[in-house]
Amino acid sequence: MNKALAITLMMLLLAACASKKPRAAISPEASEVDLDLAVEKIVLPNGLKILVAENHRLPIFSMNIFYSIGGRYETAGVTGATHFLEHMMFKGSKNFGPGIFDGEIEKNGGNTNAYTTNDQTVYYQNLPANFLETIMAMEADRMQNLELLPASFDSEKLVIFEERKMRYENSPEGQLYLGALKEIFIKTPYGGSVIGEVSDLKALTRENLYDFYRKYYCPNNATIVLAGDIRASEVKKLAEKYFAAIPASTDVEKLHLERNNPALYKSQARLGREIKMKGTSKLPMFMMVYPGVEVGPRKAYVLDVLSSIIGGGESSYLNLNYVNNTKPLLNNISASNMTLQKAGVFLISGTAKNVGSLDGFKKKFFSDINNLCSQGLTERNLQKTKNQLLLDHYRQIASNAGMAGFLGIRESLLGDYLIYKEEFDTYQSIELGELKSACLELLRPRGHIFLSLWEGYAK
Amino acid sequence: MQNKFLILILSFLSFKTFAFDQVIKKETWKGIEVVWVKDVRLPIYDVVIYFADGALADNEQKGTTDMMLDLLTAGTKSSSEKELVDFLEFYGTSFGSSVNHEYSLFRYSGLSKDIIPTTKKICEMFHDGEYPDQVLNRYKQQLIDSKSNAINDPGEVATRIFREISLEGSPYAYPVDGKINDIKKITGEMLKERLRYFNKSVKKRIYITGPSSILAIQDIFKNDCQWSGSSDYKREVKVAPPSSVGSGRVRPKIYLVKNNDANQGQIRIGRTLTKAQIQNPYLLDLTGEFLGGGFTSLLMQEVRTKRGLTYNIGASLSGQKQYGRAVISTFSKSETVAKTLEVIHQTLDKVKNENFPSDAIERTKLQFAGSHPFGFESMSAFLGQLLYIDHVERDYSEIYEFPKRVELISQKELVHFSSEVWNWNELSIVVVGSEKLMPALKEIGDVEIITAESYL
Repeated sequence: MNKALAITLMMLLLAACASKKPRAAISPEASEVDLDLAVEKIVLPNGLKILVAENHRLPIFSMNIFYSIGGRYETAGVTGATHFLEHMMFKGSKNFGPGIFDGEIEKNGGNTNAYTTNDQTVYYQNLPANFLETIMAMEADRMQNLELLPASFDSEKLVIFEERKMRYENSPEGQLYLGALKEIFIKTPYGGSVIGEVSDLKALTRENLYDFYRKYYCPNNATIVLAGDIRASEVKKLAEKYFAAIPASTDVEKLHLERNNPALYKSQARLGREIKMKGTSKLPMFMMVYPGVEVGPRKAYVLDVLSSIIGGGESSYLNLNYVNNTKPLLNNISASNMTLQKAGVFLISGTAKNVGSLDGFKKKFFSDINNLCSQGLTERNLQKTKNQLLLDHYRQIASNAGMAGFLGIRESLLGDYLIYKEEFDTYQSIELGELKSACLELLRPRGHIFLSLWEGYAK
Repeated sequence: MQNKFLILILSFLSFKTFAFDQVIKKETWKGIEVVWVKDVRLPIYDVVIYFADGALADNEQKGTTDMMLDLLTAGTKSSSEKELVDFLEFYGTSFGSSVNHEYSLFRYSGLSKDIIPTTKKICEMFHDGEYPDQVLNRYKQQLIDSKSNAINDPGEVATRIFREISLEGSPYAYPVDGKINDIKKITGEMLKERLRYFNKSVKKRIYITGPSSILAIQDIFKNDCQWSGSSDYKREVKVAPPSSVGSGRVRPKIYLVKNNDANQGQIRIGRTLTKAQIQNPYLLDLTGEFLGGGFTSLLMQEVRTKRGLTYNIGASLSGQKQYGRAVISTFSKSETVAKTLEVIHQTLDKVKNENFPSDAIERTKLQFAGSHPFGFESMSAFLGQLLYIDHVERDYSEIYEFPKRVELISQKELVHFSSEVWNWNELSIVVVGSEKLMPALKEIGDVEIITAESYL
């Protein structure tokens, strides 16, 4: 019998035996606060970690690979190298030459992409279920056998310059955001742009990229997460076939130890300042940045809740006081808590109606902080935020890609995906008193940097 | 290749066994069609209310339908804006509207246990909606400020202007949310009148997903929203063919929107598609995918991969019930905008002359068919697929027949269709960029300088 036909008939047979399938990652009776995801964790002798969350609803799956390497590992002169390397990872490896990686995935109906942050580089794919072995083979090959071909390197550098223009140079929001992060993280590894400075990008060589590749693209610096119509037993078999022979790096732990030195991340931001940036925005845009905390400690969760209560949604305190009222000073405002692996930042940003109203906002905001941190924080708002956070989690894990991201971020940044259970408990345990203290401490006078961008400012 | 299609077709059968027959149910609530997709994996629901009319209902009151739905939280006879928003957000409800020329949607989602109070509040908003002047005036000013500030975003400006230019002469050209001058004229009475029309006259359909317990909202729609199947108006429009068809133009028309602050030029290229041209949706989608659908598409390969001219380029062809559009969208640094246009032109000629790898179309067909299940993964996307099929009055069976119908498209058919649609001289091109681009653009087509303000 034709092999392809046999496999397909087998799939139909499996479809008919739906009731005998193993338990899916999400149980049909998932209650609202007792989320118990069925995840299988595999660790190979070379340190590669693999998580598998089965979901046999549709014949598709998502796969993410998290490498612990990002912008904060770069030094002056080579900024942008890890992001550039991410681009080059799609340009061919020893056994899957240029065009093969994208070509194979797309001709089977899948899609693939990646992103780089200060902490990680993440490759993600959404694929048909019958593509599992091929993608495992391809990912293993580009983990150890990447070819940084000169022609691809040169053309991709041009692409990155276009990306930089799109994200920063032609975007006032991008300029403001980049400026704010540079100020709050000044003289720390987080103080640069992930895409890189123009002068560094121009000077980057293939050898710069190879340096990062050799040091950080290894099994004991990677976490693979698969969610969808795959079986953990099959994944384990394929992982042993394609990844087990890749040697672990003996240096990467030492490299991380050096780069994770807490002294490097001690805040050196000069707080209590105001910075005006000339840009292309017709209305003044602003961003206030406060030193936050890194991902993990309880305070990070407290600040998550705080950002949602004061600035999340139209019924939030900031919206009601500055946007949705009879004399609005702003067109929009929001708050967010950004937790990175070694540091964090709390941001309040918005757009003023005009320069005069921006001054009015500043005056009112800074005189209103005590009110914000007392009357602005109520039991109802707290419960509202807890409801919203729960829903956000549900919405994320409803898709394979969301599930893979949900598990992978926790496993790679926090060391254990199971931390999600403690997270729910932590959010539920936060009380008003703790929030109010955190609010007053965070928003203390001169504890921030105020940046604004407007076409009317002098250059 | 044929074996691969056989696998796809058979896996679609298993797809069908897994999902559709078991989960799509149709009901009628007081004459209103309801489509329920059962999903018990998570304790959440999604509701989408479809109205068979959209911005074409505005006539001279441009932007009214869009604002009417967007401002439903402005207040009711018994609840203020603050109370409405606080109520919905307390339950973590995600809600919002979207309006196009042919139809309108209002959607909301949240935890299944909270669907009853949430739906009651939604029905209160529809049944008793008021648009207090205080809220309306503030909202209008925010909208005007936002449009004025849209100049900050050259991509958004390019998309907006291109839409109006490429659809010129059709009832679909005018932006759904109106322009600044339209917004200024909208009153609370106009919005209430529009709301009455949508409540009383316009045909509705309700799409929901979640466990069976959410079907209890049936009584709320009957008693609180007071909707029924007697509201059965659905808009039909006859569209004249676009003026560029057979116009005898020997060069494309290029509209340059000056933005001297930018070091990158935004490019939009395309045209309207007539009703005849949108009859085969598979051909439309496949043509778009082949030309500019992913990293291995022709345009991505020619413009980004080989030449590094852009970070992103895409092509799409799509149809509503009465009309469609074909669009190529990209950007490039100012120095290479003209070069990018040339490469796009050359690529379109390659398609016309069948000067592309012999397996390219088959690969695209596999890609396109293979990607189909992803469109159903999330419940809200699933509802969106069903809603669209209903709007264009086709049958759900096409979900199962998808790979078969894609397989039927021949290379000759695709090339012929692509050549007809992407006839270079008949295309409209919008470039948002520096006026220094003028000389180079004049080499390519007939250039007219326009200002963004009149399109905002």
